[in-house]
Amino acid sequence: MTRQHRTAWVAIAVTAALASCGGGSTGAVFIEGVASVDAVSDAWLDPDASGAHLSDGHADDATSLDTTADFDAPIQVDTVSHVDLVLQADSVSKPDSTGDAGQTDALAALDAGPAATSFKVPPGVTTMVLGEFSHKQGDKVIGPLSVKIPADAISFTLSFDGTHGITYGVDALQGPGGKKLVKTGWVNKSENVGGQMCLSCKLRVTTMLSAAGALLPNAPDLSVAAGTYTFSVLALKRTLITNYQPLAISYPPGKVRVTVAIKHAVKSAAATQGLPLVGALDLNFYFTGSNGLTAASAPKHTAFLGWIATLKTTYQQVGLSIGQVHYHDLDAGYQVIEGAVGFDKGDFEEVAALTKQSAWGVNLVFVREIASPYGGAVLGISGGAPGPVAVQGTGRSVVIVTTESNVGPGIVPDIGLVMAHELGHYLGLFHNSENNFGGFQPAIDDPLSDTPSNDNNNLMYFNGATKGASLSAQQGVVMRGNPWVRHGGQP
Amino acid sequence: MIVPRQPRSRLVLVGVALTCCGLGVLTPASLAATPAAAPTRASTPAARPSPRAALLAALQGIDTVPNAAALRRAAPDNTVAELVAIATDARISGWIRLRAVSVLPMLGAPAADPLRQLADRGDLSTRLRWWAVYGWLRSSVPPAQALAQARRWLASPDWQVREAVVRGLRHVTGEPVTRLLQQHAEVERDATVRAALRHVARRR
Repeated sequence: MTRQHRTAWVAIAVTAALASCGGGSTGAVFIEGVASVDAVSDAWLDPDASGAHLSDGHADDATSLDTTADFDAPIQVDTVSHVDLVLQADSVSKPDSTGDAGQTDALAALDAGPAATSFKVPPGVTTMVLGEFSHKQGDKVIGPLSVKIPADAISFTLSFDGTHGITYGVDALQGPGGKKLVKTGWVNKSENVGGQMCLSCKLRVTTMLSAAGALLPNAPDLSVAAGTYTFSVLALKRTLITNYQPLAISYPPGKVRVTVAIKHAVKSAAATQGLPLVGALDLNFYFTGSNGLTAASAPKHTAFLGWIATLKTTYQQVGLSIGQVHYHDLDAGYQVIEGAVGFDKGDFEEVAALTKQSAWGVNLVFVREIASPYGGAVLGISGGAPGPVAVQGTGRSVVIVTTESNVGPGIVPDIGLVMAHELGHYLGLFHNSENNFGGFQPAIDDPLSDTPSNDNNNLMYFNGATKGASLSAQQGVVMRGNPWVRHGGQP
Repeated sequence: MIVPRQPRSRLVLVGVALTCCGLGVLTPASLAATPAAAPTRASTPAARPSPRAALLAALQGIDTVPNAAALRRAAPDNTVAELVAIATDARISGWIRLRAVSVLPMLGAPAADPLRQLADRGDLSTRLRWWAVYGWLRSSVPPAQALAQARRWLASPDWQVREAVVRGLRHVTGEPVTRLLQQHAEVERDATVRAALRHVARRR
């Protein structure tokens, strides 16, 4: 029996539940750690299994991360919006007879640095890689960095593709004229949800493991101005000492690649302040075989088509259609995603890293079960709010949803709405209202003014059982403003 | 809305692990310094629900997971028993029941016996039992005990039970567990379970 040993960096899991203390105070921390493990290959299970299991037909596409596209053509939206017109399994893997396809060490690939991407940037979007920056032991931030935003920009994103196990985010973001959008050192302020979501910043941002994104604007009182924006990149590691101790923060060395994606204004009557009223979201589907869903079966899978129909109906409210879609298969080993936030042993990040060759668009992975670090089932999870933009294969480059809605009697989750909800996060939406646990703690609302508190009819309400499906006008602006949303041409 | 201030010494992290967007979010018990730009709504003691209702509220969510602290706050005296009661109450929506089972491992050893009992209950759905089997193996049971029970479950004719065992054993350390997985790989024929075996092997 052959054993291959290789070192992989994996995230260790960790939500700690602090035991109840006197006075009724309880606490919990969510922490990540990194450990070097000697990962044993699966050769002892399947000596013949080798090679990538990610079936992909886009490897030959031109790499165009730095493409600048003119956008003077008239709006040409929805040319591929009808998903039934483009349901073509353009890359369907051929599963072997045993179903035991090999697995790559995607976590190792994460740390190998960004691979060449294979997508084409659509018209109306400019992307640029600001650079790949090393951070030394003890460095709390990388920067300051700067990017010049042109006068015709209506939105832009910052995406950080970093080292596995390290948490990243934007810090000290200032617009032209010194306008402060993200506070310096916000991650250390207790009011900012343990340093993971800046509630006190003008621009709401988060920190995320391995990779992160930020979208401007994501609220109605924000806009993009021409000029130079400066910012730094937060890089930190949260480590759990034991389940019952506070997390420890450290600043290990690593590397982060910073990508900027700019969406340009359109001069058209069908646009508000340059932002088209309609747009198309391209999707890359990844199937693990859960519930019989594969790249080959999905285009004719009744339930799947129903979910897509729900997604389309829901997004039509805000002018979004589904653009081009691509189908891929993943190994059945990913039917269960453990450590959904990337703390456990890296399932989320591992799957996300397998999308490096994805076409332009958001990657949507279908699995059977998703477990948070200490258990805890969820219906779906997004790589961020927003997820990384104009870059694939980062540790956050996916939305994952369960295909299993068979939970017995009662309210059955609508997978189509779960897809819409999680994709909404990926495009930059937060929950309109978070769970306040029956009143045991303050709830958090999103930064939008047209999403009332606890509106359980809203798609982004935290509670899936209510089956909220409505989207507000401002939510539509945020979603269409994300550069992943295309307003013409082909990706 | 102004959130009532609490003494700094009481500012502890409670509540929810918001996995919505991959966030491992810590929700501070006090958001005292939260500005108006980031609206929050305070709770009032009078509005606090019963333990059962609080647990049911905590278990809502598409992509948020209550952690152990939040569960204990909701039902401080009998957290495990209340969750088991929810899990087995046919009047409650299946998704909430499943969530109740799935969070039990967070409560550690006290949840172990109830989880094992849930795993063997034939009147529960296969999916609930999947979470019970998987959760039991994640609930800090001694490795020797886990090994013995895992052997029994691995003999199940139900592939989902066997797969749950394999997934759960990912969290049980020790060479004997590795050997058990290797032995089972020799006889397992179900493609999904084999895929799980391979996946877990890579992580051991």
